Amino acid sequence: MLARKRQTGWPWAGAALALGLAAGRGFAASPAVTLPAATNTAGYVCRLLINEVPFPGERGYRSEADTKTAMEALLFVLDGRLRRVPAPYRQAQVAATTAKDILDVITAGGVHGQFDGFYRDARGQPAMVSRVGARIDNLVRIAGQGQPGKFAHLLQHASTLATAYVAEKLTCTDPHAPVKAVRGIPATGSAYGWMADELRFNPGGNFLRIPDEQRGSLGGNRFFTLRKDPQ
Amino acid sequence: MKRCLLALALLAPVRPASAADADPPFTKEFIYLVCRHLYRWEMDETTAQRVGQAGKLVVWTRNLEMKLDDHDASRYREIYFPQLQLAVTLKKADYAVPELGQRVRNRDYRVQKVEREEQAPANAAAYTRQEFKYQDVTDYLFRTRAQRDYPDQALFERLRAALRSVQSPDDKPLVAGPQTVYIAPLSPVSNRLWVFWETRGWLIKFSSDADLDNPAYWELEKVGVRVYDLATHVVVSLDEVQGSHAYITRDWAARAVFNCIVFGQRLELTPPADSRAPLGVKEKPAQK
Repeated sequence: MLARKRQTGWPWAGAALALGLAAGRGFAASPAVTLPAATNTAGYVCRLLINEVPFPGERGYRSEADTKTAMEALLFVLDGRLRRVPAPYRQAQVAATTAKDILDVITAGGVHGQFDGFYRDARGQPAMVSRVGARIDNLVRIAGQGQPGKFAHLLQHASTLATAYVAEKLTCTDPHAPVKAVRGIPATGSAYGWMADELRFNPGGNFLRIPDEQRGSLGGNRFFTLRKDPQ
Repeated sequence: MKRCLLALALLAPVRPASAADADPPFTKEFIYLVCRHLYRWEMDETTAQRVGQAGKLVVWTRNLEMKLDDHDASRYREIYFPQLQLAVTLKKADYAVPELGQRVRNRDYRVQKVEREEQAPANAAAYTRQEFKYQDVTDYLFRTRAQRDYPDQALFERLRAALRSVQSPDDKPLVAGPQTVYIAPLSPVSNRLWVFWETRGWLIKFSSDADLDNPAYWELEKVGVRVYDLATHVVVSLDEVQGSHAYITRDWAARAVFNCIVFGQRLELTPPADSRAPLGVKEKPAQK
């Protein structure tokens, strides 16, 4: 279980709602699945997890289990950037911010920051660009068609993960914790970044690409750990 | 009853989920198509140097076994080019999406991802080795380097509708007036389509597990669209934005824009003057 300061909501949630956060403004539109409101921490984290993984029919989709594990790995990256930055690195080097909470980690760098489309608006409130909301609305709509299937299962998994994380009741394990070396190069263990799993995407610097044999490719994303000894 | 039969038909795998039984080696024609895809989208001037010295292009292929969902008959294969140090993962999708009443299926293998692998795989025995004359390959690539396969009318209509609903990556206001769009040629071995929306300065990527002319994709098209604003999403090196996945490099952007403008299909789209919709009813393919 990840021990962390409990975050259950934002004092400015009502104002954020009034501003019209995308992604189904805390909706419960589908009979198949209900996501936590986008105006609280779990809902915001949940939407990031959904936004970053492939669903059936999307390029990169391999299996329900693969997408679910990818969500878990994403969550551990966020948590790692927040609370488990390995020495001698500083949080600002790894997360491009000095974060007080997971929302700071997600919104670091603004609308084109660390996690594209997730940012703080002019009032400092977490927000998402409309395309994120449109995608999630579409996924929820599809999940509600017919008997609950993979779409519903995957949405529910994101919801469960995010809610458990905020409640400090996360039970899954970090798939990249054992990565202490990458092809002979000492590594810190755990992933601290991810990118689309394509040739042209590599964060460079002290990030090390985790290869397939160490589960570096999950949910259409490539995960990156850190060199134990920074260059 | 009809729904039950449809559901059963969708769930019925064409092959067992496990891909333990090896497919025959890829044909020369297919390998060449993959080479052309790499040549157009992935390779740069340094990639092919060592191939020329050897006089032959060496290709390793193998089946990949993946843990898939129940009833998923998709198959995966890998092509490794040891001289290019490129590993290409291919997928031939074949699985149902009951929520959509569709089956995601590819007519042949499609490139899933391309990775640089400097170390040759240790399990060389797992691969089938093929060789091709370097001169034949380069002649083919040179001869076909400008070959263009464009969307057919049905796919174009779907694409046009999809472009109407493409949303700004940062919610900026839409640009008014006539719009110029370039659609890159389709790759016969990829389910990815790039579009350069010149007026807005956007590079748009449509991608899918299904073939682009498969209705299943267009049920999901809002999902598989990624927009890069060339004014704000491009850096020289991703080192500049370590840890962020919001950017593409200038090299990649230039390559994509080149393929869209030089080889692509140019369209002029004229929205109605009194409409907020960016793409209206008056549109015409423009002369190149």
